[in-house]
Amino acid sequence: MLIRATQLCLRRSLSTARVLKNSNVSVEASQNDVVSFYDAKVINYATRPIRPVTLKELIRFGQPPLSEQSLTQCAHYARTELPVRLAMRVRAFQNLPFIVGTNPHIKDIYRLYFESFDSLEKYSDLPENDNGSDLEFAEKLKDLVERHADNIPTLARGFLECKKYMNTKDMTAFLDDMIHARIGIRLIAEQCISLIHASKNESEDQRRTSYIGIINTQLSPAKVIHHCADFVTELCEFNYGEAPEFIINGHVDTTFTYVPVHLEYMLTELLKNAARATVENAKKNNKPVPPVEVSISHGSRDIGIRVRDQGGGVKPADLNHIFEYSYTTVKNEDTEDSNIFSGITRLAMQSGVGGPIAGLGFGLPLARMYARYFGGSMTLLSLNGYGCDVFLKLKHIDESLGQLEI
Amino acid sequence: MLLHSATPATRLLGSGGTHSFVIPPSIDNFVYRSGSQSGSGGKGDEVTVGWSARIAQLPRVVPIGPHILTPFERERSVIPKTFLIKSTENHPWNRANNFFGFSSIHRAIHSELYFISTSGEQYVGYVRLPLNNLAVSMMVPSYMNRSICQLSARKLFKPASGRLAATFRPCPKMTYPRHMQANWQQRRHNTAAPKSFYHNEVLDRYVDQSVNPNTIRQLVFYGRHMTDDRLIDSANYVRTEITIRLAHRIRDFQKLPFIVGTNPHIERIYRMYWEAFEKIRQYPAIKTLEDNEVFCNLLNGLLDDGLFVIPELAVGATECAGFIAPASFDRFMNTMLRSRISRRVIAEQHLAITANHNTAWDEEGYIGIIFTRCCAREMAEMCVTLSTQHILKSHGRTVNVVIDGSARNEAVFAYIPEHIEYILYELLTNSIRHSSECEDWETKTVRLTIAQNKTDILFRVSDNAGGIPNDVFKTLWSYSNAPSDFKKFKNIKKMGGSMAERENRSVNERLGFGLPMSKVYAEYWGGELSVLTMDGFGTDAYVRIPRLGNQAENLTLDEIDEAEYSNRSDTALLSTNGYSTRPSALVSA
Repeated sequence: MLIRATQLCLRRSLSTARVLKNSNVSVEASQNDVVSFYDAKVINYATRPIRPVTLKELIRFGQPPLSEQSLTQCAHYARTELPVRLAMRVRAFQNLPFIVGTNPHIKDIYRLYFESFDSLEKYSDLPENDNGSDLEFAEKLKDLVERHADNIPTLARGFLECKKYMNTKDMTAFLDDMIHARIGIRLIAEQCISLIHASKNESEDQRRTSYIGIINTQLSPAKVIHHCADFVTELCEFNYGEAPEFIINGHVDTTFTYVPVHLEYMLTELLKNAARATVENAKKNNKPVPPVEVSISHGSRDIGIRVRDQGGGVKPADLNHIFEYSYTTVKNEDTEDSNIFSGITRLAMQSGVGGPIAGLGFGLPLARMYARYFGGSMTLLSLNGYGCDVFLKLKHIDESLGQLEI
Repeated sequence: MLLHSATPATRLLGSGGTHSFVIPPSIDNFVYRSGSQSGSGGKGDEVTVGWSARIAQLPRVVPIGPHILTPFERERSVIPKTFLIKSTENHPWNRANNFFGFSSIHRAIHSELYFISTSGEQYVGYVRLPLNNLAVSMMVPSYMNRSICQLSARKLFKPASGRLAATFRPCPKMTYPRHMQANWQQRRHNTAAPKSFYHNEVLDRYVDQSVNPNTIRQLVFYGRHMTDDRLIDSANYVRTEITIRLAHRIRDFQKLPFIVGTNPHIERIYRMYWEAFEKIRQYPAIKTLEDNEVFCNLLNGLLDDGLFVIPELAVGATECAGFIAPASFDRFMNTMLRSRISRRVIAEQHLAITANHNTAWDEEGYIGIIFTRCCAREMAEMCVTLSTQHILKSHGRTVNVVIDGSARNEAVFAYIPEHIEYILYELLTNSIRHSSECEDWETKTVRLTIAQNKTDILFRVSDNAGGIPNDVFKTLWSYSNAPSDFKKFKNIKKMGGSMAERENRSVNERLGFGLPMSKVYAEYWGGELSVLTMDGFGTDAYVRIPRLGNQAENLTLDEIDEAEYSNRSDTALLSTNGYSTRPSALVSA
């Protein structure tokens, strides 16, 4: 029904827009309105079809030797494709219920998307071989990527506040689309940026010859796990005073092709959960903190990472909801006892990859979305009363994913 | 099939006649050289195949009819003829055993239908020949309750080479189920299977009644204070409940595709079920303890008969693989096994409490077959010992098994220990076996973790034996991929579902049913079993057993329907949870 209504609005606005455009009248809008109701630009772009690019092409764009031609192709693709996708995101926001759209957090993100769309839109009509503007375009993209870095936590906060105004199904659908599209947009954007920069600075990145844009063809899971484990240990010690030991076993020397940022995010999330559960459980039972075991496997089709903890497991009642957005087993901030350190620790929790250590209910669904993006999976097994095992299966990004469209 | 002693057939219809085949010369009375086809193959009815004429001349080959056409035959306008072979007492093959390689015949002759069915009549085997196709399975002497030789049908149909086309080899002895044994004569006109479509009404009455699932608590409570009256009530409950449950299962058989139902193994089980149903249905109400004694004998007999069910079904499963979608067949098998467990549970429970009542000896903590003081750790330790011994016997080596976890020794709960032991034994043997088969087996460890909370007991069997490759993992819970070499099944006459019986089984007999059966056992009282693997590293199996005893018997499956099943791309969840759609208290993906 919502779609019907907006379709009607669309038609009306299109026709009115045409009339008004000619008469150069724009409705008085208060300063807070992001976009005029009558602006047809967004709709124009949003109704264009997406041209998905396959992963194979994306890798091929950046495969050495980097040629001028493949770079221009990549840039051209990004220039024409990104505005369309951004416009679709803006449309998605416009379809949210009105009250949800007025929430300041959500409005912020909406505004951000609109402005990004606006600024990129003028590049989309340039001819293909306009090399000068490529660099400019790359700079702009970089700037935008940075500005969008904190989208998810802000959205998360917004939706937490709007929980009672929107039913879960719609919210889940919106967020699923949002995040899925965001991953795609960032992938294209960052790939484009890094390729353009790589071509300008050939001599620099010698050590990163295994990289094709943001894809690392020799990504070592063990290294990433070490890195994330260190980070989580610090966070944990800061927050609780102690942290569990992380044991890494299995095929530690294996490497595969993947996007390092994605892997980092997922692992940080899982290790954070494991560490938090372990420490809280140990404290509750007055026992020493048991280690968290991370095992790596290199299979014929995929890489497996298993995070095994003894943190008491997940209750059956919660188990069906852990992958829902805004579902959290952490108590509301307001009801926590405030102690002398709570302010500082809260701040500490805010920083770092992906945001706070726990409490917004977005970590697991987001991590699972990342896992599934390239055809992988995330499965959680809970031995309630003992601990949890999380299995992360990631497909190698290679020829076999050639047809995967992003 | 009705029996007539009609005139021997003189002709067999055959196809266009490009094939000829030979029956080996070494077989007395059944040696035929290939007749070359008459050129007039095209005409549908008139082609004579040399050997068939010979067969027709055999005094002991008796064609029978009229026939009920299978849909297959109807579709292709095939009119089969059926021949019964009588054999003499003196025949050297009276000791051979086995069935035709049904499916291999099927494959060799390009999709025509053949089956061999044992009719329980005077002549045990008969062959049904579709007539516009030349390929015919061999007729083998069979008589009374004994043997049918196995044929290598593939070798049978070498086109036109004129050479020896078939080999016969005697196969190991197999004991027939009771209803086919010596007293089959009395059963010749039994009412075991409905003579006609209309006799099935009798079943309808029972199918319409619903099953009453029990919980462990109910069984314990009932069995605790046993009196004579209660025992008699229990006997009557068992009588009616088993009838209803059997009726439901017979109905399931009737819903199978026709071709599956004509498979000799499936058909045998079907008949067995009918017999059991009729016996119990017609049993009078039990009024005294003596009646109960007789009834218990009947129950024992039925339980014994039931031991043949699983291997038969297994053979049937492999043979029917091409005729029914695996998902449907798996569902059928799951329901069969569940129901089988349920009937055995109530029957064995009744037998056990009768025995206790009679002897007035109460084994500490046992109420019938339920042990009220199950201790997870003790059961685990016992299973570990048994499984390591088993693998030691079969492989000559075994790996270290470590038990850890938080369960204290004092944690007790009420359950049927055999169920849990079956599951643990199965999972442990799988892990230990795969670990032992690795090259660096000395470094491998299998870890059994026990955990508990207020509502459940949890087990996790974890190994690092290299994991399960993807193609095997996808069909982990399917019954249609039992080992294709089903000779092994034929060696296994009986297969029990309890630990004691499994111990007696030879170490090298593996059925391929272990995991799906474990899942049925785990889910029976409302638990779960999940298996996850890391290809290249190892496998983890998780079992959840409810410990409060307040979960009713899980007799029907909340299953996703066919279309949804085939659309599921989430193989992780599928292989962990199989077909169930119940909200899980173990897995989330």
